[in-house]
Order: sequence, then structure tokens, then C-alpha cells
Amino acid sequence: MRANSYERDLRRAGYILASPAIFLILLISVIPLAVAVGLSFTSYDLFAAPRFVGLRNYQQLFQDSVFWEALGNTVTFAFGQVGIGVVVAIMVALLFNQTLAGGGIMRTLVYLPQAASYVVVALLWTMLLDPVSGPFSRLAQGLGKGPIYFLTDPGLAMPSIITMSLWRNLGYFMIIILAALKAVPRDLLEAAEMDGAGPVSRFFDITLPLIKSAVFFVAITWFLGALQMFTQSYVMTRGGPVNATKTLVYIMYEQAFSALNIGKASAIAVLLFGAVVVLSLLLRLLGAARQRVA
Amino acid sequence: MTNREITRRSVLKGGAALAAALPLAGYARHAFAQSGKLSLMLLGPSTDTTDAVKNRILPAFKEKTGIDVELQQSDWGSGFQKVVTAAASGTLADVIMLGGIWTAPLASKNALLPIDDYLAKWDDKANFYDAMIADGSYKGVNYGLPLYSDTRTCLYRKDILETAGITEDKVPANWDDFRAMAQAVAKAGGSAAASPVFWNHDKSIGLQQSFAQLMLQAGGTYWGDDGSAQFSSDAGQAALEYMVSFFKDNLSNINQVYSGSGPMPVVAGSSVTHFGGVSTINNARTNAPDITAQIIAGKPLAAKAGGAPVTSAWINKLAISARAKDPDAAWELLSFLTNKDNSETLSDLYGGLPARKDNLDADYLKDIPAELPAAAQYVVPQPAHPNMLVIAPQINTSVEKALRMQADPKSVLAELDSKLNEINGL
Repeated sequence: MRANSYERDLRRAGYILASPAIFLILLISVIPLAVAVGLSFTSYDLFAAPRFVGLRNYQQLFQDSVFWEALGNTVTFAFGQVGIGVVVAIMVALLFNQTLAGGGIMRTLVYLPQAASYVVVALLWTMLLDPVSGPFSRLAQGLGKGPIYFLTDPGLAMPSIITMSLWRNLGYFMIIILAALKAVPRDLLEAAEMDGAGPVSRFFDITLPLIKSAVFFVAITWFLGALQMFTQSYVMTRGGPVNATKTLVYIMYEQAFSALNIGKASAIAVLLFGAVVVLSLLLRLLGAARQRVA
Repeated sequence: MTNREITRRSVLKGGAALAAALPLAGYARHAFAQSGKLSLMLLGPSTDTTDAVKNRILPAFKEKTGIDVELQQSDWGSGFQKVVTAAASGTLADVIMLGGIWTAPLASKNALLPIDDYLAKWDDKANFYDAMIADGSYKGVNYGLPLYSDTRTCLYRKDILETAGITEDKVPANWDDFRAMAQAVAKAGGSAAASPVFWNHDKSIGLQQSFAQLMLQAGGTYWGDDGSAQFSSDAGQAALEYMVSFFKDNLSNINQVYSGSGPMPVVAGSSVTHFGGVSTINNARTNAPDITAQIIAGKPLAAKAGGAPVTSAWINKLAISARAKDPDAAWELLSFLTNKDNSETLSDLYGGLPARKDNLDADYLKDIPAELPAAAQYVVPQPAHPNMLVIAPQINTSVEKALRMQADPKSVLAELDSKLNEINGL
């Protein structure tokens, strides 16, 4: 009886200790999410009371070509940045995993952009990519080529934003992979080397399988973050040229604060949230299945 | 050191304290509202503007009325978002600055206070241009007073025109002349040969503004009597085809986009002309002072030889929040900020043209080409529309699509009309 009472007290204490966190999560995540889901079925302009419109916001979105363009741009950005980024992050982490003169300084330099805000980095890159005064374009002109319109050519705008985002985020994800590399047992690599395995074979057969959890984590978190890209487009291109860099979050912002169409903006938010949840679950299931096979 | 336990009682005590604090905070806000203080929100003020308002204008207002004014400010980029969310949450400043096309979107949401009663008793109203006062109205009700105007006309680089054999007295008057001028500049070679005409392509709605001018010059209107979009009308098509022809014939470069900082293309010399205003002169003063004297202004264009010149203006205003704590005091502040002296100061600092007729002799206008203020007589007002802030970017994107030759002007405009009708619920 006494033990039961003790356990009950322990449980109660646990609830009390966890309650501030639960309250905060409810306040800043669950309740806003529920409100967004509710608003997505309404017509609401911030001024008059929300009016229930059923699935109309979703229907209108699915019939809107700009929504599909934005979805395509978002997916292009996410796959472009993460696809290239993970490979580059692994390569840079492998480099920094060696004993290098000035390795610490180089690591700091690669990580440094992460410390700057996206707005600052976006403004900096807008200047770097300027077709008249930017160094890249000047270099091209010095080599006898014309100016390069990085941010105003529809074919170059998204790749330019991907490059800038990659530069900004690389350091953070590289550090995670580097930490995983540091945990790879040296004796395994040395044994493989003694058995005649070359550097490529050692990487693919020993290192990569041992760091795959970290790589998987990096890929998922980077990808999910990339699906929410907004600042770069807003600061560097305002979604242009001709919608070429408009993302889902960008059109959500436009709907909410230019069109005052909070219902439609909420519908976009709910769709994006749904996509993130489905992707996360799929990846989790995939990870669990792979672990079972292993 | 004492070990303090977290008990249910202490948690409840904390909750009670928090619950007590919230009404107190509300009471404090209420008390502030009753304190006779006003708030003013300015958008995109420079440091000089903020200094002038904070250190000269608002202290003078306090001396006159005894009312303190709290100055709030925001950039133009997020200005509408801030104003609209503040209006919705009841925290909008008492007197607020509005962009050129904001009156209808905010008035349609009942966020602004009608000022017709005040205007009816206000003698100073006669000193404003009627068209500019009218620009602050929506559905026949007036909501704002003009602070300054960004009136556009054709600005040229005199030195580049001369290399093409065009003297100052022969600047274009109509579309054909304008095109011939661009061809002559392209033929003459030099820095502006690759893109003689810059159509204000920027990251905002510059293309829409240029297209709107051409469409108005061609006799077009935005909306029909039934409220339906009229961009695919003959005038709209003529305007867009005219614009597109410059890009087809390499008289404009679609990738020449002004980023909002640094010298504008006309100032940099990479174009010979654009539809510009005082901001172009200020841009030259800041980025290339030697070039300032080379910038000359012509009349706004007419579509055809012998036709009437037409231009448009973006008139920034001051208005009163519908929830102003003391509307009479807010009107005092509004009328004080737009009196002759303050209007001149603010027009100058914001780089605009005066909204008042009695400021046409203002000192700061002496260095500005006379054709710029004179262009005010050719202004056709912007149509007030509650969805204008959604419509303008939509037009901009459609125009850009046509200029990039992703689709022909006719189909672009037909698609645009259909989209705008959908936005307007038609």
C-alpha cells in the first residue's frame, strides 16, 4: 500500500514538473495548429468574424496554378539543397576529420555563416550576385562574358538561392556529421587498411554505414527545414522572376498579409504541415524497417 | 541553503499571482489610453526624417496642444502587414501613414476614421490639389490627407541623348517618338545602347506601374462599370504590345532589374530613360552627384501624336485609425503634420512632390526639373479598389510573363482579367 502511494506521489510530481512544458507546448504548438486547421475551413480577413466555407479554400488552392508552381519550387529547393548539401557536408566533414594545419580556423569559417541571420546572409548574397557590381558577374565580364543575371534570370534564380542556402547551412550539418565521424573506431579503419582496403572502400564499407544515422538525421531535418523556405525568396527575389522562386510559405505569407485571406493561408499551412508529418512518418518507418533488416 | 519544495500550493499561488497580474497589465494599458497621449506611425522614414519629426515637428505640436506623441515607425516592405495586423488587433497608432493604394483596402475593413466632417470645417483644404484629396477617398468618403506625391514623368539622361543627336528641346512627346528615341540611342552605341529604356523593373510592382501609365495613356481603365477587369481591352493590349516590342527589339533588357539600392539604371547610364520622379534625382544626388545635372525631365507621354499627355501618381497619405482614442486630438495632429511648413519638410525628406499648391515655391524644388512638379496636371488618379494590394502584384507578374515572352500579350491579359475577376468574386 505504501509503495503504491509513493508511486502515485512520484507520478503526480512528474506531472507537476512536466506541466509547464506541456502548457507551453499546448500554447505555442498544439493550440495554434488546431486554430489553423479550423481557420482553413473559413473565410477570414482578420476583421470580420470567420465564416465557415467548408473545403472551398482547399478547392481554390488545388485549382490555382501558382500553388502548383510554388509546390514545385519548394520541392526543387528542398531536394536541390539537401541532395547537394548532404554530399558536400560529408565531404567537408571528411576533410576536417583529418589532421589539418589550421583545421580549427577552417571549421570556424565554415560554421560562421550559421551564426548570421538569414536576412543578413540574403542581403550579402544579393550584393555578391548583383549583375553590375557583384564580384561573380564582374569576373565573368573580365573574362569577356556578359553580365550574369543570377537573381533575375528564371533559370538561375532558384539555383542561386539554393547555393546561398547551402553556404549558410553547411557548417551546422557538417558539424553533426563530423561528430559522427569522430566516433568511428580508428581500429576498424586501421584493420581494414591492413587488409588492403583502399580509402574509397573504407569509406563506403566502414565509415558510411557507421555514420548513416547521423546522415539520415541531417537529411531529414535539413529537408523538413527546406520545405519552409521563405526568407531567401522574400529578401533576394520577392518570389520572382515570374513566380520562379515562390515557395509554399511565400504564398502563404502573401495570402495572409497582402490578400488578408487568412483562411486560404491556413489551408496552405495545414497542407504543408500534413506533408511534413507524412514525410516524417514515412522516413521513420523506413528507418525502422532498415534497422530490422540490419 | 534551504531546499524549497514545489508543492501544489506554491503552484496555485503562482497561478493566482499571474491571474492577478493580467488585469493589472490591462488596467495599465487602459490608463495609458486615457493619458492624453497620441501615437503616430511613419513608414520608411530616413534618419533625417525621424530626427525632424522627433526633434522639431512633434515638440512644436506639444507646445501648441499640450499633447505628447509617441512615434512608431516601420519599413515600407512590411508596412501594410504591420498596419493591418495592428488594425485587426486594435493596437493601430492613432495617426498612420498610408501607401498610395492602401486607402481602399483599409477603409473597406473599417480600419480608418472618415474625416469628411473635419474636412468640411477646415479652411486649409483649399490649399491642397483636389485630385490628391480625392485620392484619399473610398466610395465617396474621405479617409486621408495627402502628405506628398510621387508623380512620374519621362526622365532622360541629357548627355546620352546628345550622343544620339537628340537635344533637350526634342525629347519625345508620344509613343512613336519615344520608340524612335530608343532606336537612335541603341544605334549610337555607348553604355545605354543595350537597354535604352528601363521600365522600372524591380522586385516590387515597378512593371505594373509602367504598364498602368501606358494603359492610361492609351485611354484604358482598370475596371468596367460592372466591376470586371478591363486589362484585355484594346487599350490594355496596345500598352502591353508596345512594352513587349521594346524587349523584342533589344531596346530593353528583361534582366535589368533595379534591386532598390545603388544607382538606378538611368543614373548608372545603362539606360537613357525611365518613368521616374523626385526619387531618381535623389538617387543621382546620393550615388553619382555629377550626373544630377544630366537628368532632365520631359512631359508625360501621349499615346499618339497630338494626344493628351497622361501620367499617374502615387500619393502617400496620413489617416486616422478608426479606433483612435481621441479622434479630435488625432485630427489636430493630422492637420498639423500636413500644414504648409510641415508638409514641405516631410515632402522634401521623403523625396516627393508637394501635395499642397502653396508649396510649389518650396526651396527644395528649386533643384528639381520644373517639368516634374508640372506633370501633376496630367495625373489620372489611381482607381481605389479594396483588393488593390493583391491586384497590383498580379498585374506585375502577368506583365513580366509577357515581357519575357513566355506567352503572348493577348493571352496574358485574358488570363489576367479572369484571375482578377476571380479575386474580386465576379
